[in-house]
Amino acid sequence: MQPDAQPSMLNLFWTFLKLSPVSFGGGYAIFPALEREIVDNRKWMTTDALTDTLSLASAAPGGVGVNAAILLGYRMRHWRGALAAGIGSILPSFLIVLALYAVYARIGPSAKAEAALTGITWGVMTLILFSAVRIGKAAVKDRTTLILLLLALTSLLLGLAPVYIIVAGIAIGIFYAVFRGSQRNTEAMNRASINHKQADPGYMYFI
Amino acid sequence: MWSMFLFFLKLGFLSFGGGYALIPMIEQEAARRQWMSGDAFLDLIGVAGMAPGPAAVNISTLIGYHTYGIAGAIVTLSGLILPSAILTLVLLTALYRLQKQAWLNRILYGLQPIVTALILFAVYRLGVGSLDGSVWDKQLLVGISIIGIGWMMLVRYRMHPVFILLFSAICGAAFLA
Repeated sequence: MQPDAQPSMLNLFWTFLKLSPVSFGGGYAIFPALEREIVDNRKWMTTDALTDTLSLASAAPGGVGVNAAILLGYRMRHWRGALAAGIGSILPSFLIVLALYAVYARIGPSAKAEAALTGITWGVMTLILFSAVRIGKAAVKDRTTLILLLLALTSLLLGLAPVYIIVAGIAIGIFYAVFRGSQRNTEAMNRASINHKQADPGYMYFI
Repeated sequence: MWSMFLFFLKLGFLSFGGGYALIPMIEQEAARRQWMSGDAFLDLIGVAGMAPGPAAVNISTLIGYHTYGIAGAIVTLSGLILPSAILTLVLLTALYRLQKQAWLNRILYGLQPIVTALILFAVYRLGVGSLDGSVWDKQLLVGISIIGIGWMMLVRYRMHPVFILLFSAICGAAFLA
């Protein structure tokens, strides 16, 4: 597994600047575009490394898209990278929303535009669904993780606040590993740790 | 303007998983402090939904702009984003420093299924939010077709996500107006 690349600051800024207009409807919709740009086109890091980072970005407080940009920037170029990627990801939507507001104030609502937006919502749902499948593939390693996923989904549908579920997930992960891992590594944990052992050089950059 | 900054600073720490929960809180605070009228706020939500980026972030930007101009927009935006971004980075660097991989693996083991659920839930919420009683059938039909065709474009033809958004916008304007 290769280590993360170290792109130039301008390159980072530009990449996230370009990506952020795709982030309609919140951060998750940006994941497919991020993967394509960072893993496929620019080869800055591996899919595994990206999936891990995106999982952490999704669980942290704050906007998912901004978190993802900042974390990815930090992984590749430390604080300055975080700054470049973060600003790159915020600037376009900031300017676009202000511009839209100015236009809206002048012409008011339009039925066509609203219908197009409703359409976009479904397009966004497609992209988010795709992100869910990508992360889900990494997430569901065995029966425990599958049950965890279903339980979390049920609690969300019942209206439990995400923060409790996130904390519970982290606790269960640690508990499970300490409990099981101390006796005998399960196949899933083994697989995960082998994966990450190979990924070590990548994380060296992070540290 | 300072109180505005503080309020959005506080919100920044609460915005787990995208921040949809923040919108009602922002609405209450805006009414209480008389930053804007209820009608103006509804307009803001509409515009915020049209722009890319998280709705809560866009709404904050617009409230700041509406009340104090560009300076206000920058204040609310940084209030909302900075604390959580810095907190996130600090937490994660601490995590990476503490132990290179073992802890991270354990945390990710429990966390990734949760994140998957959060993302699936975001799909559900967007769908429910965009369907409103009267046009339920037609919209659902068009919507599911968009998802089906969009999925094909994405997975089979490996098209760039931006084309899926364009396609869905055109479908929306054509069939849902």
